[in-house]
Amino acid sequence: MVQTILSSIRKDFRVEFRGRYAINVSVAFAFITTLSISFATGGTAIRPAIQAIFLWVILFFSAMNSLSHVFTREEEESTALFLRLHSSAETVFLSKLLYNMAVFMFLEMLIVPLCVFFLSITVIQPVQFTITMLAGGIAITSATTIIAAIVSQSGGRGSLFTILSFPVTLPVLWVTIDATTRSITSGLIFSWNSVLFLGAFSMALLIVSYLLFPVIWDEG
Amino acid sequence: MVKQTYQVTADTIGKRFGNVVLFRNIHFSLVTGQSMAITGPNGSGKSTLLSITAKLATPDRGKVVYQRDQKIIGRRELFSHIGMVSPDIMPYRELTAIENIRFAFNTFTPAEDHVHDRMEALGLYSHRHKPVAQYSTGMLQRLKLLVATLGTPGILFLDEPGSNLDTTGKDIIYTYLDQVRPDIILCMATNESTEAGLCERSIYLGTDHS
Repeated sequence: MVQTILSSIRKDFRVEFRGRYAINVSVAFAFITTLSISFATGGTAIRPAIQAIFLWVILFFSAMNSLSHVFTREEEESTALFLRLHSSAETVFLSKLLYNMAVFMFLEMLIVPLCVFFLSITVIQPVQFTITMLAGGIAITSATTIIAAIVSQSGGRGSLFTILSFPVTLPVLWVTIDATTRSITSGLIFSWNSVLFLGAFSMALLIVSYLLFPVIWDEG
Repeated sequence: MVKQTYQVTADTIGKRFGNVVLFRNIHFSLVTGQSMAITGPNGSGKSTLLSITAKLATPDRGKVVYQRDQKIIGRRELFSHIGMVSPDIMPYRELTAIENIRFAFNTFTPAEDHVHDRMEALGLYSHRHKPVAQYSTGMLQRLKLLVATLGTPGILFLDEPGSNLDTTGKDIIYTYLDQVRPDIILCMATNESTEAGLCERSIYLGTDHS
C-alpha cells in the first residue's frame, strides 16, 4: 500500500506541477493580498494579534484553491474513473491528504517569509511559531481533504469548498491565531495546549475521514 | 496457468433519470468465453447500462453480481479483474503514455517487453514519452485500449471502442478481440454493426420514455 500511495503522490505532483495552475493562483493570491495589506497599512505598526490574523487569513484563502483542486481536477478532466479503476479508496484518500499537506507546507514556506517581511512580524519564539505553523497546516488539510472530495461530486465546486471549509476549520483558525499571537508577542506565555488541541483535532478528523471516504469515493 | 472462470449476472436492472425511464428489467448472464453487444439509438442508455454492469454506476432497481470460480467478487476487488474503455475514462493529460501505464499498474507491473510489444502493435511506441495532451483523439483511444487490456483482464467492457479510430486502428482492435475473446467476458456498447458482429449475443435498448 505504501508503494501505491507514493506512486499516487508522485502522479499528483507531476500532474499539478506540469500545469501549475492551482499553485500559481495560490501564490499569486498570497502575493497580492500580502502586498495590499502592506500598502493599506502604510507602515503603521500592527499589533501582533492582528498580524497573526492577517497571516492565517492569507494562508487559509491562498490554500483553498490548491486544496480543493486535488479532487476537482479529477472530476473536471474525467480522470476520476481512471483513478477509481486503478487505486483503492484508501490509497486515494491517503495520497491526496499527504499531497495536500505537502502543498500547504510549500505555501507556508512561501507565504510566511513574505508576511514576516511585509507585515513586519517579529518572531519571538521561533520553535513555538514553527510548530504552530506545522500543526495548523496539518489540522486545516486534515479537515478540508474530505470536504474537497465531497465538493468535487457537486457543481459550483470552487466557491462551495471555501464556504463549507470555513465553519469546519474555524476552531483551528481560532486556536492557531491565538498560538501564533503568543509566539510573536514578547511577554506572552506560549500554551502547548494549543498544539495538543490541533493534534487531537487532526487525529479525530483523519479517522472519521478515512472511514467515510470509501463511501463518498465509491458512490461518487 | 489455471484458467479462471468468471460469471457476471445482471438481474432485473432498471435505470431512470427523473421521469425518463432509460431501461428496465434487463436481465442477462455471461460466463468466460461469452460476449454481448449492447446496441440502440443515441440516448437509449447503452453507456449507462455498461457502466452499471461494470459497477461504476448504480442502478435504480436490480443488481449485478460477479463471480470468479463460483466465488462472489466484491465491488472493490472487481476493479482488478476488469478492463474498461469509455469516453468517461480519461488517462492523465499531463503525463506521458508510459507514466500513465506505470501509475495504472503500480502494484502489478506488466513485463517491459510486453508493454513495448503492445505499444508497437497499437502504433504508440514512438509517442510513448509525449504528454497525452499532445495526442490526437485516435491516439488517445488507442492508449485507452492499451491500458484497459495490458493487465489481461478477465472481463472487458468497451464503450464505442472504434470511435475516432482509423481503419488500421479498428483492425488492430478487432484482431485483438478475436484472439482474447475465448478467455474473457466481453461486453460492448456500440452502434457499429461490425463491432456488434464481434459479439455472439446482443441486447437492443429501445426508447421507452414512459
